Amino acid sequence: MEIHKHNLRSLRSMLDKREISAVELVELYIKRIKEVDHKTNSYITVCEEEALLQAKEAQKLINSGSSGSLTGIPVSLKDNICTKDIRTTCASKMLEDFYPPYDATVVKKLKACGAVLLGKTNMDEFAMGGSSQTSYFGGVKNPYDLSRVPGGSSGGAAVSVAAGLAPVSLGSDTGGSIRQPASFCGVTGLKPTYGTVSRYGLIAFASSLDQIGPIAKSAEDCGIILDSIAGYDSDDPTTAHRGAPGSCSKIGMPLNNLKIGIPKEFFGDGINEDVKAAVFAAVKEYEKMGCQVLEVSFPSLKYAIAAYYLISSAEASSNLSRYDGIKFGYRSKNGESYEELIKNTRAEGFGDEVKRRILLGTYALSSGYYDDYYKKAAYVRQKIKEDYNRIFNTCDVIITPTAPTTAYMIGEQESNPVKMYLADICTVTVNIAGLPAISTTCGYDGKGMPIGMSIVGRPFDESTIIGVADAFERNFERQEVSI
Amino acid sequence: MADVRLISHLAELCKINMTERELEIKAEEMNSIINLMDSIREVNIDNNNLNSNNGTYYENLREDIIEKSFDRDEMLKNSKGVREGCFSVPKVVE
Amino acid sequence: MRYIPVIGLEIHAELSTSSKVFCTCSAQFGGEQNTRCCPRCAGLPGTLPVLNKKAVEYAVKAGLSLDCAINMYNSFDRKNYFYPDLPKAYQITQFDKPVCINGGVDIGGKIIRINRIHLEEDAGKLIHDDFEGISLADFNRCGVPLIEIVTEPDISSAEEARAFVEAVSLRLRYAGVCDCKMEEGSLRVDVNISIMPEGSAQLGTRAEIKNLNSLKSIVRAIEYEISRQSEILDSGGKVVQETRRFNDNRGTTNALRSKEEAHDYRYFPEPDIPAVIFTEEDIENIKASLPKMPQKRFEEYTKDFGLSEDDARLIISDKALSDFYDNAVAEYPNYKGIANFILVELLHQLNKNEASIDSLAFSPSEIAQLVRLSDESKISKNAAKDILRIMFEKGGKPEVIAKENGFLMDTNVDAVIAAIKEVMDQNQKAVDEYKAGSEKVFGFLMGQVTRKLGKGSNPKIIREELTKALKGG
Repeated sequence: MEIHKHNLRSLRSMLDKREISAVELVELYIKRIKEVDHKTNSYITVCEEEALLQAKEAQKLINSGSSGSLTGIPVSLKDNICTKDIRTTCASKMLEDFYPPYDATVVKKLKACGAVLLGKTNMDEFAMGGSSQTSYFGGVKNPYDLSRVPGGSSGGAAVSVAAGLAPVSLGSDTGGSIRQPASFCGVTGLKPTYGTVSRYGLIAFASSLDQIGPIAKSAEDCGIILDSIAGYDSDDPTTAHRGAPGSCSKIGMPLNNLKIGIPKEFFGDGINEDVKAAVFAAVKEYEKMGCQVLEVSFPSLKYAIAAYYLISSAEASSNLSRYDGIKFGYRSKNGESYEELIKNTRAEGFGDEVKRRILLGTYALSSGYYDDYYKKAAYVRQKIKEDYNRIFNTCDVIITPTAPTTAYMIGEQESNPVKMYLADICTVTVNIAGLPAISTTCGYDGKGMPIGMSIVGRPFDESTIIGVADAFERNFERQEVSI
Repeated sequence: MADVRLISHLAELCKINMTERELEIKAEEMNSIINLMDSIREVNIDNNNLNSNNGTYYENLREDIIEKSFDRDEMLKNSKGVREGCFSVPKVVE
Repeated sequence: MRYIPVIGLEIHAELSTSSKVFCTCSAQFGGEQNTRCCPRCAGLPGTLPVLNKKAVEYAVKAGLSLDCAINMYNSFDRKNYFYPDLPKAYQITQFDKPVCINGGVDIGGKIIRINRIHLEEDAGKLIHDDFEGISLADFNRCGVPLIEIVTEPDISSAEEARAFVEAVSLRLRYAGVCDCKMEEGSLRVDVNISIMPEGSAQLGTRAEIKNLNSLKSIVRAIEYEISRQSEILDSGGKVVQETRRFNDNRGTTNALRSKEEAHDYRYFPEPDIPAVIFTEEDIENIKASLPKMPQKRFEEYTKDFGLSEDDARLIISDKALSDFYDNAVAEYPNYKGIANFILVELLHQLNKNEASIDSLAFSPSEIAQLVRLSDESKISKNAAKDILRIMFEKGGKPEVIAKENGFLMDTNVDAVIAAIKEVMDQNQKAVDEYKAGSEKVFGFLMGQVTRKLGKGSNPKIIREELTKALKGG
């Protein structure tokens, strides 16, 4: 099997047994990126020099027998995660040449583990989107079918893993941006409980919803990464003190008596028949393993899209106000006064979808509209949390489709914002409630495009959802992409 | 109902310049989007306690200790308009 | 037509913490431009605010010192607007649930109510270069913690406004949370003022006055506004709701914007900062750490110690002085005597030496001893002044200094009586003159007795005994 198809456990073993050196491993990925990525466009910046230096250092640790789980392992990072002195663009003209003077906390942690930063992956501009086609650096292509979208906004991250251009990646998820591209690209993606992973250094989209999480070939790999990046961070007061056990602690545990909730509202008319069939088939497999399946109800789902878009756009409109060309980033050449300069900078530096979200957020917060929109969205948020709490009284996990469809053709629906927004219906409630969820591949449609199912857990119960996903993955044969 | 006047007002609030044509296009787009959002207006709020944040106990807050600030050069290096150690802007109209 | 001014104040006070409110940069005043900054206070992408405990503590102290109630659960909000001195294009403040509510200050028979006190971050500084047509932004001040004190519109005159600001400043200085120096910008006052016809129930339209750098400016600006608004109403016009800037040179106010555009700040809860929860114990501890407030001391000085209101006011005007006084009278409770000595002699020496009460070479206990020595007639009043001067120069204990310099007076009454008898015997003529009604000759006789007794004689005792002896016959 080609090296880029191996999982973490296997790579770790090869490195530790000196079957391959850390430098060789990095060179292998760099070579593949050069050969393949012009087709997929999953990377914005490849850090060849830095990665080789880091690999050399990692090799020293391996040689002295003190390697950890990630020592010498190459990792790709979504380009909204700040890397010191390495360009961080958020796929926007606005930050085309922004060089952060500091590392995000997750980057510090990865470096401390001896991981190797391979490069920064492509995405929807400022993480706003579900197709990775709004990037200033060109859209990302799905390796299963280059004429299709890879999903978004962490499309580049998912593609780098699916196409063997990185063994693991870090993405960010605000309304599904890790899970949905993972499902479109046939890999596994985990959004941790809100507060598990520090957001310090994650360029903010929606502060109360954003979380950084792993995208990898398997649930186990996701668990290994998560353990390295999770934990309370004094630089991010919204992080929680996370107790043990480790994320992989429930892998291999028997699942009999596990209660799985299936909310009927998530399987309505808007969901493709292929998708429904694949998810139901997966649920049947769980029943064979001894799980109990309960049909449950989720009435607040009706308002979920509105609540999500109002809250996330409101926070985003405020978070993106700092982009005015004065302190950093793109600065317009036009503008006689301060006002004119910033208005032109923002007109020229932001893409259309970002502008729409800022307009929507400004609308939801503005005088006369706040009570009707933002305040009601905040109320619905509580109702969604209550629905989940109620379901978790009788269930241990919840299973839903990750997306209503599989990967669609590039150009098919991106010009229709409303259609794009509605497609988030399966993922947004998880962010609104701050819960952990993992998407894993559970089938393929008639065209061979991957179908993902999401397993949602109680707060801080990543170990259960990883164990549940792993149990399915062990018996499910994925159709690897060859590119 | 999102019309050009509303979008123009919003664009002014969030400081993004838009041409007439752009305002028209955005008005159309925002109209559909706001219609989608409007479902939320039928919700009745039955309590006024919208605490979304878990709180932190006062005792656990950060101690008042100074740490070295960043070098000025680091802070200024990403800006395209630096003068005399400051970020420069065209004169603000009072 | 007589108009009643209706005035409310918004006071911003810079809290004297070491680090800024949301990051660990120094909160100190000044510094080379942009050298007290970090990615957080400069609003770089990806950064998050981390709340400073001391800033919260100081806000609570400010609230307690102004008789406010403390919100046990209080949270932060974003105030969104664009200006070059605001790097994030929003200010983190408290809109919905401020730290303190419902306080008040008695300015002498009238209570000015405080609606709220909230914690927020300061913005940076803009330097305008008119020649080049640019403005330069310095972010050193970004993130310095501020409290904003908002009053109800209870103030009715310029003098009341001044008295209120002075009273608030005094309390904040006592609480140790702000040095309240308007001239340095650590205390900033905005005035909201409208006028309404006497007897009317309807409030007038108010103007907001900014750029007031001293107590005097506040008074002048209010007086000007009252007259400006009165003229407008008298001539049948309408006062425009607007923001005006005080022109210190001319003593007038000018509109900042010709058209008032009410800002839409789009306040919403700050998602990056969890709400702050106090326990009862937290508040009790903070309360216990506050010193006795000036108004309490004033009451004590006037009612319990019998000081005059003027004297009491003088002593409390400086906390260090008041602390000094309290410590001195704790040791020796001659309240009036010590007050007098401090206000006359000690302050005189402080001024002469350009010294501050914090840097004295002696303690309140030593002053207490000095006054006691004088009260017990062991030293003369003049000697007390001399001893104080010596204490200023090199410290030391008053009794020791008195001994060393021969200031100690004899209190041996028998020796005095004996000396008096001798002098009277030797100066029969003078005695007769005194008995015949001449007061003048008393001084002569005193001088004789004093000479006879020599150094260390106690004029008080001499006077008493001589008077007795002369009367006795």
